[in-house]
Amino acid sequence: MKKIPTGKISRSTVVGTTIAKAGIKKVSHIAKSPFLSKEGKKESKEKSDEAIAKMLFGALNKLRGPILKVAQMMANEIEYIPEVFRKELIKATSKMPPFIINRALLRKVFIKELGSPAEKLFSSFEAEPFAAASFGQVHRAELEDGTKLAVKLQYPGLAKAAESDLGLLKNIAKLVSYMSKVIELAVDEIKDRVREEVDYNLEAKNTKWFYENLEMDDVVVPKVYDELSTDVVISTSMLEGVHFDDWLKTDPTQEERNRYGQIFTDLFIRSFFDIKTLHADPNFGNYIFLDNGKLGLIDFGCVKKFDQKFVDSFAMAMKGFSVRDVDTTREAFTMLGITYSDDLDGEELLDWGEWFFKPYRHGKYCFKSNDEYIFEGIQYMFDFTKNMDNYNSDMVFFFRSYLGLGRMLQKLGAEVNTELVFEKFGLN
Amino acid sequence: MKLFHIRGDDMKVSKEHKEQVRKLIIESAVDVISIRGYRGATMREISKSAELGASTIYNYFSTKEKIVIAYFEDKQEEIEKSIAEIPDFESFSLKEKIQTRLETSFDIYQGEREFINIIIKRFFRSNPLTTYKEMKPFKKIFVEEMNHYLDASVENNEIAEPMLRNHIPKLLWDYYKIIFYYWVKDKSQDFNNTSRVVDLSLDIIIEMMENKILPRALDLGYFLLRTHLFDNVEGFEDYLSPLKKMGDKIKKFKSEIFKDEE
Repeated sequence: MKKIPTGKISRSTVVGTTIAKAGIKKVSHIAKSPFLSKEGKKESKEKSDEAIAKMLFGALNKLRGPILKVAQMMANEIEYIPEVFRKELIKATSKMPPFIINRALLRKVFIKELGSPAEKLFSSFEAEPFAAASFGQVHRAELEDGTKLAVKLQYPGLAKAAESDLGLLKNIAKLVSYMSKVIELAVDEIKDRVREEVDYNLEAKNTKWFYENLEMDDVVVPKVYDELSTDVVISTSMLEGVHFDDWLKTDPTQEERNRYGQIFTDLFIRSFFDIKTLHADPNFGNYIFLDNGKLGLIDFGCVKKFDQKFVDSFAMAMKGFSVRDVDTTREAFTMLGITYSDDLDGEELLDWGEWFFKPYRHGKYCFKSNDEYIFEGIQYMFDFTKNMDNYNSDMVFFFRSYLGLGRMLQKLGAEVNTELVFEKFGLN
Repeated sequence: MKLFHIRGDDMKVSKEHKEQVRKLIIESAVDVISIRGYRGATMREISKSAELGASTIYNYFSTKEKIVIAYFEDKQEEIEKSIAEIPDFESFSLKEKIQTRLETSFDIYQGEREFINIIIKRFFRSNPLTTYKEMKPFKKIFVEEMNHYLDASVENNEIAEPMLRNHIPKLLWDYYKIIFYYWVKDKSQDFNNTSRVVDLSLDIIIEMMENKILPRALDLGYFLLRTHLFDNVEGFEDYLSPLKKMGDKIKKFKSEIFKDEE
């Protein structure tokens, strides 16, 4: 059996050795660079990156437990992670055993958190979970009056350990110089996400906020049951329906696809402009196609509130995009707190804006015939982040949600009306 | 709290009242020992804390030690009762049963960790594997429980009949004592570290039972001991008598095991 390093010191040693190795690789890449052509330099850079990534994230193979969970989140949920890194992360985490909360642990969590075991809290409770959560699982339950609930619980103590392990990933990130900003950003983002994922109090608060403030007839937000919720347990009303993939399997007509596509689009636009708050977790699993034809929105761990300045500046950027005006666009970006190194020319900025504005230019957009939209966007994002000096974290959330929406619409193959944006941005 | 006056062997004292006094003495003993330590807690001190007459306590317990044992007996009863109340316990997997048994005991003992820490220091000299004769009845109950769990799992075809079947419950008792000791020292929130250790280590234990790794490792161990160690030991008996003693013990253990497998 492979020896698993335990304790912070030996874990750091694994990473430390890897860091030293990567340092050498990097030096050899730099030493070679002056003699290479521009193309050759790029290729050599990529090769060296790949080698470094293999080594760095290969180190994760020697670690076990929560840090792998974190690595897995990074691989699956951060769009702008370079592909070489993603591959290594997926490899490192592919054999990760699931963290199961069995009946013994369920009992402990319920007694500690709510004072009684499940059989005394609910009229019925299914010990077999019906869905997985990042650091836990979700169970079906029923109250005396027949109300159906979804009860989400955390594996005891796991989240805390994961959070403290994040420092290790950050050390890894610091090494890959040309990508360091991106990776560091990703690590920070994951850190926030882990915190969000495990703070069920916050999630309950967010869910209740959306329940009260989001006024859309076609969107359903579950009700939180405070008396059955704590830091690590959250009970909400059950939304009966199917997840994205299962819905697609029912072979929906184009009209149905468009209808749901429109709900997704309107939800995004209204969330951003009307309540200035986005459900910023683009995971497909967070949407439920309800039996009554509505859209169910779940998992409010990651919610982003924007201030008026951000919304206004973004509207200004959109204006700049729409007429390809470099100065307006630059000004808007400065207001958003995003600055770039000098070698990013205005044209590059406008190209990116052009991509962003595509679905809105004609008030209508078909994601079925433009199925490269998100892929292109990720490329732009990637180039963009590389040259960036300063990044506004609000933008990270905005784009995570925006790309999430795009992926949703692309997967639906929906044609949607985007005129609502014009109204909201005041572009007409 | 003064429950009532007891004069000598007052026959009017009902069974129920007697039980109340008994419980009161145990509670007071736990309090006094937790504050003053085992040595510092005298019978007089305990009866004073229980607000009983100086001699009344002796109608119930002749020594301090007996009170401590009664405490553990009561807790044991509570654990059994708590497990009996779990509606679908019989449908639990072997791992879930053992894990629930451990978690339940931690839950029931958790209010008196300081007391338990003192008792462990006093009677086990901080070594959880020390055997102590008063532990025997508790061991017996635990081993019976484990036997029951194992039988049920074999019967349900959850696991194959493990080799060394009769030894497993006793090994689980030692495992329980070690985990219990870990729990007493666990400073993590809600003893989540203990839960994690139990969750992970039971996986290994059950896998060992199922995969028969343990008996195979033991087979190899006995072979090596017999061919390479004992042969030599016999020639140097006088010099190596302590080793010889150990060898005898192992031989005895071996014969027990072989008897077991017949």
